[in-house]
Amino acid sequence: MSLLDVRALMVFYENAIAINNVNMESQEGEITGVFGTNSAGKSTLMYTISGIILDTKRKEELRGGERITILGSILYDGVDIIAMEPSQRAKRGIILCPERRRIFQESSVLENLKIGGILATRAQSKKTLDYVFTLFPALKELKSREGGFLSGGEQQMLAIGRALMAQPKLLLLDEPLLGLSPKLENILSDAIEDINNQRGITTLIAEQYARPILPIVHYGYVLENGGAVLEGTSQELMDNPDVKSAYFGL
Amino acid sequence: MGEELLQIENLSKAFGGVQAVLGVSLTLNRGEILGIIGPNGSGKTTLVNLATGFVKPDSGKVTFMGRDITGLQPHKIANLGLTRTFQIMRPYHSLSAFKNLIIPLNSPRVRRTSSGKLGDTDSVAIDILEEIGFERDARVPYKTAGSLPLGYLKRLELARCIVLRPEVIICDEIFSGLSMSEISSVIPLLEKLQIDGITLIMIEHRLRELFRLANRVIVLHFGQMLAEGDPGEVMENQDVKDAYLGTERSK
Amino acid sequence: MTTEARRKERLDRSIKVRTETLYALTSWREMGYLFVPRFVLIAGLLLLPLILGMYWQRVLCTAGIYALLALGFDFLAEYVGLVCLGGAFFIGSGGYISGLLNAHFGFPPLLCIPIATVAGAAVSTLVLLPCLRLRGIYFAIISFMFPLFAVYIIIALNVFGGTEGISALDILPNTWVEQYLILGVILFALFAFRRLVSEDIGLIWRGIKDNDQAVKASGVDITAYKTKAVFIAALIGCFGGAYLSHLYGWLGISLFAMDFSILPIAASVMGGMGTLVGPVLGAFILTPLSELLRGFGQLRVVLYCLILIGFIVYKPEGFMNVLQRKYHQFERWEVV
Repeated sequence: MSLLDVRALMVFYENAIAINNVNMESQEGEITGVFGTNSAGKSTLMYTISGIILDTKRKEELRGGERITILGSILYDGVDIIAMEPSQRAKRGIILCPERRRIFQESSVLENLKIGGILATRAQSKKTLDYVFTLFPALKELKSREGGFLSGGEQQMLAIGRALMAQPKLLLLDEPLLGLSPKLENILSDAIEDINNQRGITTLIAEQYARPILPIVHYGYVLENGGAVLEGTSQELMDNPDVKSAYFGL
Repeated sequence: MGEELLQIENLSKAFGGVQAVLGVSLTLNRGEILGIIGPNGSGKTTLVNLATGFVKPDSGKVTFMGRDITGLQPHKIANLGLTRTFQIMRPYHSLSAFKNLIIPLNSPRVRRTSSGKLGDTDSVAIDILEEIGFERDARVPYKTAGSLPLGYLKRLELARCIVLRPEVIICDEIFSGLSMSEISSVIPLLEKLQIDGITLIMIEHRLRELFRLANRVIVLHFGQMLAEGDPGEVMENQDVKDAYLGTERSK
Repeated sequence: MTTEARRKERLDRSIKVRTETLYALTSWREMGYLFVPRFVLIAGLLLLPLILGMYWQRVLCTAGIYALLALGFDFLAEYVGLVCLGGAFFIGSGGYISGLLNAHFGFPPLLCIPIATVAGAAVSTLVLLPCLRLRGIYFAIISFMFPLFAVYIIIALNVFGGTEGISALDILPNTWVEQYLILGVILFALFAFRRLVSEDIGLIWRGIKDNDQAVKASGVDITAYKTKAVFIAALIGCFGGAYLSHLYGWLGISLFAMDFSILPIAASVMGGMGTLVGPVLGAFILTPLSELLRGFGQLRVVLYCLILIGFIVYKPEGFMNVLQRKYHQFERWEVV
């Protein structure tokens, strides 16, 4: 059963096409991967699914800047959410962990996590908080450290933890391994796999350097210049020679 | 390898109770490529900021070509020949690629060394871009910086330093975010720079690519130096393995 | 792909593309496309004194002063990244220096004004110099405070005429000189600024606005360039002040009035930040408007603020940006 069904999605920034007729699905309970280089459209896809792009569109309209056009449909749990406000989408369980983390710099780790849980009930928050600390023991030590003073890896852990606090049904991770050391890449991909196994949360990951992520992904799509050029199970992708050389450095 | 170009002695810096860099010392010899690696938060970028004047150290000394540059302003240090790239790049988006280079072309260092008229700065900029692989026929130098793919942007950032005809370029995670094919367009440029006599310091996470280039590697951890040596030695160091490398996923 | 989706596309007009290169000189139509708007602006401004009655001619002069301030504000804010809230300090320093030169030394206005322009700009720049190194918001705050400081100092120390000011200064020869002097300076300043921002120095300023770390790392001393920019903006502001003191033949603390700081901002936002000409036109619209509402006294500042807020909320880009877009580009529906 697909929780997320993207159909014929097209996104234009003024006259430049950012997402070109993309069709993709995210099966319930699975980890789906979206791979591609920088200008392939991964982040635009994440912004569109989470709804942030509507906010950007409004701001650009006011400023007289680029006109952003969004066409197609995004079915979430059977409902077309393409015009739904991002806050509404969050209430329905679509939670984005943004590119480059975007944690609250001046708030402590604990405060960041609590803010994430603002949509949840107290009981849910407490339970999830405990889970986050077992998932990332390092964060437990750093409870009162200000976000801005965390290292990149710790910030990423915090960002994912904060997303979990919002009780996601569809967790969107935009380049979670960006700029991390090999050791941290492993720690984080283990954690992501754990989240999916333990909590059954449907996850959609956009990543560039796919090597550590590919083993934990069930199904993947490869984007190039805004269009989906390849799709398949992680095994099929790993076996594909183009994919191997272009993205995985194998 | 020759003289010592850069000496960093016992550099320390704390930000609000967090010790970012503690007692780091290193030397850079002319002509080499020095790699600096380490986990996030190990102080790599802070070290660069301290050496190039963007942050004032709490203690320690930085000497460049025999001159004490500790605490000098960034533009003065750049004019002496010690340049750096930025990890999070924001080129002047709406300007065309070659116009991004007009700014360093107006620095005192460039104006000094080009005795008399530099000539039309626009065409000098375009020539420099062509040298580093921005195809003139495809009009790449004329495209707006915001529209260029990341591989070009990273090279543009290098070009910003190259224009100054520096002695040293410190590259802050120049491979981050690049695909394999983009990396293979940047590596030849770095090799060419070394051949042209420019000394490089490379801060990197992409170890495989870094070790192809670096002569010597330093490992930082929690703001302190953990290990130093040639790439092979460092990879075998147990402390380094525990702190940074982890193990390869077997699945 | 059989989606029947449509989107609105915005494209440059072909005539715009043709006129971007030397081909602009190949036909009257193309040259017209480039020259007509500029010609209309210049001719329009220069013809105004001939068609206005005496009262409105005076308003024109005042509008011109605000136009210079708006131009300076737009330049600093959009081309250098400095938000200067202290237009009143330029007017005050230019006005006081010019008036004092006239009152104490008896120099004629046409000599005082140039001297005061340069001297006033020097003083203003010196005063703002310390905060150029700091983050932008401190520059805004300090520039805002200085006119207030100046007023308090003048009153407290009772210098330069104190609260009463100095009257009976020499005024400009006749009403034609009054108007064409200010209009001439405005047109000159408009073209000068436009030229300046297209030169290398303009690129450096824009670099300072976008990403000053990268500019520093490129070996360029940003404080030196910011200082130059402030000095140039101060030149036209101080000219306005010097001109004003000889327009009415009087100087006083009202030369440091808040109006001079606020109205140019409203005019800039309304006219279109970044267009340079938009703020000038905005000033020529707001000033007569505020004249009409003279009866409301201090409430006029409330008017400026309301206009400012209205534009920021509904049309932040300002009318000139909209007009330029309509002139250079067209829209059409395109099937995707």
